Amino acid sequence: MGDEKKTGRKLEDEVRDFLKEASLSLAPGEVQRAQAMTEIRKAVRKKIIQRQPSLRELLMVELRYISPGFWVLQGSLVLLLAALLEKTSLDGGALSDYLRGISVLAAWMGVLGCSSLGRHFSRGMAELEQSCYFNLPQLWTIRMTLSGAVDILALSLGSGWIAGKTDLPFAQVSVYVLVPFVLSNVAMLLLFTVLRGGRGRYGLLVAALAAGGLAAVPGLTSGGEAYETARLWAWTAALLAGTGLYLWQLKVMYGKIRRGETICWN
Amino acid sequence: MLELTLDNLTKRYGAKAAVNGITCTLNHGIYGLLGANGSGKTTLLRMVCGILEATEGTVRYGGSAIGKLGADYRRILGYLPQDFGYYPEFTARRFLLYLAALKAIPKDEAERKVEELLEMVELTSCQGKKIKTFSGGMVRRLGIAQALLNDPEILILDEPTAGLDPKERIRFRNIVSSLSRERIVILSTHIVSDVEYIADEILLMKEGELLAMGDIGQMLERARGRVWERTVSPEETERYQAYFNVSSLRNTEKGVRLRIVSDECPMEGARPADPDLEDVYLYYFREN
Repeated sequence: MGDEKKTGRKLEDEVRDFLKEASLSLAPGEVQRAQAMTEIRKAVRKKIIQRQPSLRELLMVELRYISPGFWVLQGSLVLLLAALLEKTSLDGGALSDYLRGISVLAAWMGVLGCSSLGRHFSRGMAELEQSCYFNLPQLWTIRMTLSGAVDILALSLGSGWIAGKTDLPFAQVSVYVLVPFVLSNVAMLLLFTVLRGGRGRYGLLVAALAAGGLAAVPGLTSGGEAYETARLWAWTAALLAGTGLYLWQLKVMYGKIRRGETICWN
Repeated sequence: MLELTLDNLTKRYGAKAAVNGITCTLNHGIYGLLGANGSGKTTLLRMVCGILEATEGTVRYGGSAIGKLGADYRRILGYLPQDFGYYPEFTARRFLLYLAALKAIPKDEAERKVEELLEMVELTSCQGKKIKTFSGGMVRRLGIAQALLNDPEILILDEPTAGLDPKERIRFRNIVSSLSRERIVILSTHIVSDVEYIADEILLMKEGELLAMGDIGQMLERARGRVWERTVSPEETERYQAYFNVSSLRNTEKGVRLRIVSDECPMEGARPADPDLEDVYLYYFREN
């Protein structure tokens, strides 16, 4: 009986040893485990790489991180525009009175929109942002689309209001209003590309004053001659030339950013 | 397998070559890019990041030119520029979340990663403070954190220890050492001790050219037999310094112990010494 028990225990021990040995041979070693983990990490990383963010996400990123100050200024200009149009209407103003005010504000909107682009450079962020998945030209495009859309919407509403009050066609008023807006954008991009030193706070203030002053000039002509229908062709030509120049400037600017000139030499 | 190839990479500004025909292949590991100020390190790194276009040559990742890879390359890139800019009105947390968004990191993952990195660079307690209130060292740590946001396969740190005090330098070295070796880390500096103990390989740059590349052992071997020690009187020290490349001098009870880098025995009584990386640096950067 005792012998049987002993034999049974011995057999049990042997089986246990055998299983232990077998489990050790089946379990991966430290090196194999590390290799497997590396492969798993690589696979996980690849999974993330394949994710493509949508245009909506990009818009949301920009909207979320545009400084509140920009929207406050932008909103103030829109409110100022509404107040100015209302006051001119109450005063029984003529076409040139309406256009004088809206032209100055349109020029300021252009200055404000472009100055927000300069923030990337003035804060030394351009180089870092250019190394990100969403790079600087993409950020600029989104930013310009967002602020430009708000500006053009506000100016179109203003143009519609003026057209209603003066019985002029909406398209004609829009041309008068868009010229200072586009030209101030052109001037601001020129400030970025040529007059690099003028990007500071005072440079922008001077630019805003100059753009606003120039935009008001046609409205100061006697009897608003500059806005006569006979001269519409000149306004249209200025708008087309300004838009063409603006697009060309953007192309040049994007090329410089891509080549690193604008980023690395500032 | 990770492979970053620089093929005859050149950048010229007019007649001057800031980087001249650099060719090398980098695999995973930490690479210390050593060179004096103005040797072309930053220009080289900017080209590797795809920020600056090369005049000649290409940078290839996994066999494809990085210009063609475009956003796919930028997605696996982490970069800390030498002049690290920031939006001063942003808090540290908001800044990291902003860059995480630019790196196309999903929002939930970004939140988790930002927490993790703030802890890693010991800025958790300051995460709600505006960056404009940060010290230079804190800004630099924030820069290191942002470079790691996307767990990059290629991490490029341009003079990451500039402006850090000795304690912060040590902390930085520990952070870089703790990073997984399953990536390519290029760390540029002109301070030898920044890379001496953490780099797997050293690249020496001088006047836009790659003078030497190899692991620390190989580098030290190149300077073996060219480092000498001799103890001189304090009065003689200045004279020897004028004639020889003295890598260090130490005051001892017997006089001043000079460490000299020279191809031949510089003076009678000088004994050969084991080179260190600073000697190697001085050997390559000595003025004839």
